[in-house]
Amino acid sequence: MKRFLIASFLLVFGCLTLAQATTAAISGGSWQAGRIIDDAIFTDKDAMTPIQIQQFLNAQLADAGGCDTHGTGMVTYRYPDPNNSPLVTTTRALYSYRKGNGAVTVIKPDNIPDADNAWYTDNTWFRCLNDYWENPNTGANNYANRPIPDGAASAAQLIWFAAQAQNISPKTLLVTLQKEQGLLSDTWPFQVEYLHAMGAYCPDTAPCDPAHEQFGKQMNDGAALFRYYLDNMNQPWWTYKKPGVNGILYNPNTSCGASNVYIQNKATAALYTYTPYQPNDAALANLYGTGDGCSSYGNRNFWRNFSDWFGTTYADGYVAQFAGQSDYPAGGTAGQVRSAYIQYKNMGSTRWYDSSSAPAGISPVNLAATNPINRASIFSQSWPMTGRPNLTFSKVYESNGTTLAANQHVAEPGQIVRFEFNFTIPLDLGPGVYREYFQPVAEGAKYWAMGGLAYLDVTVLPTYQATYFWQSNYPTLVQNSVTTTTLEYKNTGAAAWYDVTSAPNGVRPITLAATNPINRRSIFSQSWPSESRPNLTFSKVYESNGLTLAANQHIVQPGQVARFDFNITTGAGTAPGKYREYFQPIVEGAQFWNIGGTAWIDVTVVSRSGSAQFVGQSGYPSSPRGQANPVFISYRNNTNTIWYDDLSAPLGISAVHLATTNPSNRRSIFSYGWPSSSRPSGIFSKVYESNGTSLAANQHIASPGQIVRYDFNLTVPWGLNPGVYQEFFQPIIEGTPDWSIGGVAWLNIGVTNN
Amino acid sequence: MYRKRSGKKLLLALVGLLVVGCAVALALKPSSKPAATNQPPTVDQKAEAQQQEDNAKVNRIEHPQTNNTASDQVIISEVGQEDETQQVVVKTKLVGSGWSSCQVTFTKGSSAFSREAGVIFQPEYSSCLGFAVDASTFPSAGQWSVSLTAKKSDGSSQTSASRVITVTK
Repeated sequence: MKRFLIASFLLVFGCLTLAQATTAAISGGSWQAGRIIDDAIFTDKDAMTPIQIQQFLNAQLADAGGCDTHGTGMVTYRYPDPNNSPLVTTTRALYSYRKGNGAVTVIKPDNIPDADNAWYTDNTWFRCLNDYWENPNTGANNYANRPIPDGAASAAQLIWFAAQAQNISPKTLLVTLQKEQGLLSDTWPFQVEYLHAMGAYCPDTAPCDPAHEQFGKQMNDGAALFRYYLDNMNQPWWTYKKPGVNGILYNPNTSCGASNVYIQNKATAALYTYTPYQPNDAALANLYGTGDGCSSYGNRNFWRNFSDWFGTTYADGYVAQFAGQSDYPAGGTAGQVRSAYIQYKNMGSTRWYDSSSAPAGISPVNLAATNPINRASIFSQSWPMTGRPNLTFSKVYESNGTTLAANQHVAEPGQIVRFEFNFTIPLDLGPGVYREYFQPVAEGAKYWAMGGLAYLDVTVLPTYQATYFWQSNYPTLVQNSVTTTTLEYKNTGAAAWYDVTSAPNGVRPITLAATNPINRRSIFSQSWPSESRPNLTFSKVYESNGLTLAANQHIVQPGQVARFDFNITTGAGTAPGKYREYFQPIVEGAQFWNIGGTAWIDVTVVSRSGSAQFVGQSGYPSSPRGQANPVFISYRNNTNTIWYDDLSAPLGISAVHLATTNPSNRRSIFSYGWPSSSRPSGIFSKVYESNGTSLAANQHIASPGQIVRYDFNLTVPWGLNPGVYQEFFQPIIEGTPDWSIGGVAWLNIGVTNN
Repeated sequence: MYRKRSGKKLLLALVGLLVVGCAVALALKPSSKPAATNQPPTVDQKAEAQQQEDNAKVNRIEHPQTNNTASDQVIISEVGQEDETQQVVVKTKLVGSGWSSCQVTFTKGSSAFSREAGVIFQPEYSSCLGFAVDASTFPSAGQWSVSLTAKKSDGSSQTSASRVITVTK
């Protein structure tokens, strides 16, 4: 009973194993010119161990009938002229000898006839790939009947080494070996086939490069070429095939024509770079034979052999074919949302589930941002993940692309899935066209790639853009003076501008900034909110004509004009000369702060000149101790700058005070009630026009030519002895190194007994 | 005893069914070859396949692909400045065998500078392994002359015809 049960189990297990070991049949109709093999399979360096490679080589030779070591098999060829002589049939050994192949390692005695097949078979040793050893550094090998040289590795090991060094699948290299020279099934290989085993560095129009000959070099250099191609095809200088639309010839004879192929992945592009031809219909119709005069077979045989030997060239059987997309989204600005879709046809043999329908343990098929895979998209604000626009199918169609399928969350082979999703334009994104790549993926699977690379171009319009509109005249200022200047900008972007008083939460204000470089500290900034910001608010907002005031003076709608008034202040120490100051409006604190509109103002600073001219004063006072005596002194502003007192001086400008002098800043004994013991007054009492009688419009600012009067008290202290005292005064520019402006005057004070 | 014999018969029948089922499954299994070769190849088919391979091999030996040799050429196939990156890109074409290094030289009046690169092989033509030069590295904007010199591993070299590129900064 037990024996029966074990036998039954083994029978069932063996049957299932046999069924499992078979690979899917392929036919020419399955050929996808744009997707010969997926990247993950092409570059899976761990796909085989050295032992598995050796076993595979053994199996291939065995399947071909085993190595014909002595060349006893017969071969037909034309001899001696390969083009015109009649056909002859000899042993492979003799043919090899006639072609100069080095499989015969002894010298033929003269008494042996040239066509003695027997002698040649006795003395010929073909070395097949499964038994080939080579020192990769010297090229020494065991071809013919030579012993295995020191430092040699087997062909299987050399294949594996190349795969590991270049991150290319050993399966890729095995199939390429067969495609180029047929070495895997060659039962009587010539030495030259080892020299050029991978066809690497053998140009179409020149002999092979000797620097790359020998089997070990061919393996590594051929694999390295694949790696070069994969790693460099995105470079701007790349001139060969790359993912996207490429014209691919059918044959080196260009008259056979070409067709455009949408290459879906890098591995396929690398194959077309290595062998730049595609099979024509005739080659595909006779997949295991020859086509017509315009056929080529390299890439066909690569795909056919890979599929026959190792199964599908597509990762996990999930195969997606691009099947349409929406137009590129219309241009939008920050915060706006644009919708799009991409469609894929299920070209594999596996049913696709989305995340809402996938049974436990089955990978759902999701649309992923890619290039690189799982790229975090800047437009992903509304997506379930930054690298996944949509985790469910938006629509599932039958293969005609129009009839809705019965199940909208499962796509059977042949059906078409539509992924719809939104692009949300982020607030900080600058204007431009952004190319977003997508591809469907088998989520979480080892071989997640399914092909179907596609892209959408998202146009982001300028959200904020400023265009210079107008400015006031360039100012000329004397040291220690201030003037107001103006810059105006038109809002030529798509969004409204807010200043700091009107910006809603989350919206960055537009401010005027010193620039060139941005945030430059201006030397004229004494009265600004900061050293690089002349003004944080709009001084005026006009309609687009620049004349009519807008309804809201703190919001600039697109098309309207913002006016920034601000002061240019020259300190007393500013060196005379011409200064060019650059400004531009900016989006304060934003990543893309630059909205254009750079303009400049040339500021000319001239030296202060002239002096204060004494005009008049009150009579000399005389009084007993303890009495306050009102007095005044008047000066004409004979300088080229405006005088300000403490009530009118702008920020950064020094006021003109009356000061004791002789010596300067002398402490006066009559100073009771003054702002300080050496400053009778910091405020003008009167300001007259130049005639000395008409009061000026502003009683705290004295323009050149106007007259200032300082009124103050001289208070006689109680302890002072009777007598006459002389007190000297002069106006000064307070706190500046060049404070003296002349105008020394004095008052005599008579002190009497009480 | 009776029951034991009956169980054995039942198991025999079960095993028989499994054998038949397995045979049917194997007969219907998809083959790795096209439909016409679903059955294992016959001796004749194997011989025919071997003959095809031998013929192909003899053809490769008798008529090597390198009969149509072309003379060596060093060509600047394209030069331009990319809008997006502002890089000046030089695309190259090296016809022949054995190319090992490239040098591109930009000249404007008395100003000149060079960039070097390796070579990438491709059977139709090789090319230099990359010339994408930032416009900011050019001393000045304007028209620059571009020439390419490629060296072979045997020390020989060849220089291309010059091209002109207008560099904007």
